[in-house]
Amino acid sequence: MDKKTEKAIQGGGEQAIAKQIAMGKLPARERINCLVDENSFYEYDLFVEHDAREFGMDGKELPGDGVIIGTGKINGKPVAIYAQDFTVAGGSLGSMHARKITKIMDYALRMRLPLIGINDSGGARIQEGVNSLAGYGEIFFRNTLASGVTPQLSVILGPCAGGAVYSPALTDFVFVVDNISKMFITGPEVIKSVLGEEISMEDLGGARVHCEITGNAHFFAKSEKECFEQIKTLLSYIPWHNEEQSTVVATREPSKKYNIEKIVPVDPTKPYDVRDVIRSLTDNSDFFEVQELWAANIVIGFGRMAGKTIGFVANQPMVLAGVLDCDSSDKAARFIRYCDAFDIPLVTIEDMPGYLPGVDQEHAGVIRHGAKLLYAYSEATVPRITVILRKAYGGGYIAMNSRHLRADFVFAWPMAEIAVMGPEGAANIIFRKEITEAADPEAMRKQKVQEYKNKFANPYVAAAKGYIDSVIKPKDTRQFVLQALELTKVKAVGRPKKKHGIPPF
Amino acid sequence: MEKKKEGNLQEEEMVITDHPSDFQILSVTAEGRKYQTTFTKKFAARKQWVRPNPEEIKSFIPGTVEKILVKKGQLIKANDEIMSYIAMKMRNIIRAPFDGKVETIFVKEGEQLPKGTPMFIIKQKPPAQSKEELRKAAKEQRKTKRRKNHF
Repeated sequence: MDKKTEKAIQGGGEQAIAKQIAMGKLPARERINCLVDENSFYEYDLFVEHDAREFGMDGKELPGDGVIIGTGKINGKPVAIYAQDFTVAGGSLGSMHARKITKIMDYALRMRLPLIGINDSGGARIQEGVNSLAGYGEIFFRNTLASGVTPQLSVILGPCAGGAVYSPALTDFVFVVDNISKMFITGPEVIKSVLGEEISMEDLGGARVHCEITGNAHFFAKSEKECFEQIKTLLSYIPWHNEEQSTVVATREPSKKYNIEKIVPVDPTKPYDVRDVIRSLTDNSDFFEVQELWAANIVIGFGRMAGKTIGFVANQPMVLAGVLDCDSSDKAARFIRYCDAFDIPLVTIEDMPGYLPGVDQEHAGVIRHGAKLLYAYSEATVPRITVILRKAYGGGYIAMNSRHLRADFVFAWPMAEIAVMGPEGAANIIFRKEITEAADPEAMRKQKVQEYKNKFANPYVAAAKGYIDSVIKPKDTRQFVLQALELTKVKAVGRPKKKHGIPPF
Repeated sequence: MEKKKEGNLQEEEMVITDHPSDFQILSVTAEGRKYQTTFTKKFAARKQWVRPNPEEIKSFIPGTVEKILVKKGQLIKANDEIMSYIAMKMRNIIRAPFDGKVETIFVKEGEQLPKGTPMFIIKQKPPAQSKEELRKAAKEQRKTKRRKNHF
């Protein structure tokens, strides 16, 4: 047995492993060892052999059929892992390879373990034909089945092309590493030959592209080791499965470095970094941001308050003026649904001037993308608390977890401006007659704008109707949010009985 | 109207022809097979990918140039404020993406811009080479010199 094991764990052999390292990638087994706690990895199906007989496959030995599956512990808690081995047949997926992956996915779902999939594969094994496709299909179905039950993380540490790339897309979080990850449906060669468009692999589907442009990836790392640290951090925040709460740690006060009163300027045209505001509220000022580089006009991520994991959604005024648009709505909506699925309370920090106008936004479908945000908030039954810092205009005011979408508590700062439109735009419409008939239209316009500003650009009009629960002082924000979280701990609401809704996709 | 695009391999090409019923047919030959389909407006209007020039700073949103904080020829460092730009009721601060020199300024204060207008060209300063890197580069040069002398 020792000899057999020794041979099998060599994978593609020393030469292939050396090639892997030369490409800047760690061998599959080493990746698992870096990720899980020491001596906690148990491997299964080490001696699985492929069953293909055509195209020269008969008699070919592929150790473990190119994938390693097993269970290990991360931060002392058990996880299920699979890691594709690029040194064996290029990590290509054949029917037994897929059988191993689906086996560990079944175990993960049955035993309620988070699943971590390390993707590093050349794609479908062409010699196995349709059997490879069948394998992929089985994987995608299980990804969907487990979605919202157990966390599923995809780590792209090599090529992940063609059909294979749908598995990460179906999982909860995708981790990519600069210069190592490659994700695309059709590669540069096919694009060049059919459409005549020239682009390199890195520019088409490299790590940066997926973190900055497509939004397919959630976490960007400069090295594999950094990536593994990110995975461990994420797992320390999220619940292990959907019927378990996230680990509660001791409460720590936010760092004195983040003084909420000094961060947000009173002048509503001045930008600031809303992440500093989040850090002034979270325990120990820790904030683990998700999708930092994509749709940066909205910030999402995990932090802790009173020791419990909280999901934050915040408009970012220093990027794109903090507007809501297609991408930011998508980004926030999916995160809200994730938190709702795993019972993580949501704190929303609002400071946005509205939805971004423009033909390209309209033609890109900002209507149905924006609607996703409304849908996600309305559907969520976890505790939802909103703090309006400065601007809250128009449709965006409704979409950012307003009272009308059944937010549990909505607080506003005294400098908040909650209105239908900005004073400039609104005055032009409401006072059009007075302005056009005035002796000096420009002076009249300025006067009317000021009038509108004084009357409506404040939180008191909304507060007068009970749309805001309290107008609070900035320095009391953390206190109010903590109180709200405590009150909503065992919140109980229902939704009409249905198989599921039809969200705007 | 006929448009021809040649691909890498001999057999592959894309031909657009008019159809009597007032739409266009796209014929694509790929992998030895000929496909015909309607040539949609959306496909015709698709934005061809152009490699972005990192030294060109374009407006990211329609708005008004408020204040230009740098002059032509000025040396700047990464994250320096180079312009304030009014859009969506906010004073957006445009910052330098890297160390460099302001080569061209295309806009003036008070100008209203649509989205995607080039505003600045900043020539990037190449990163300083460490002593180690300079030593390596010199070693490589000596190696190639020696090789040349062999023949």
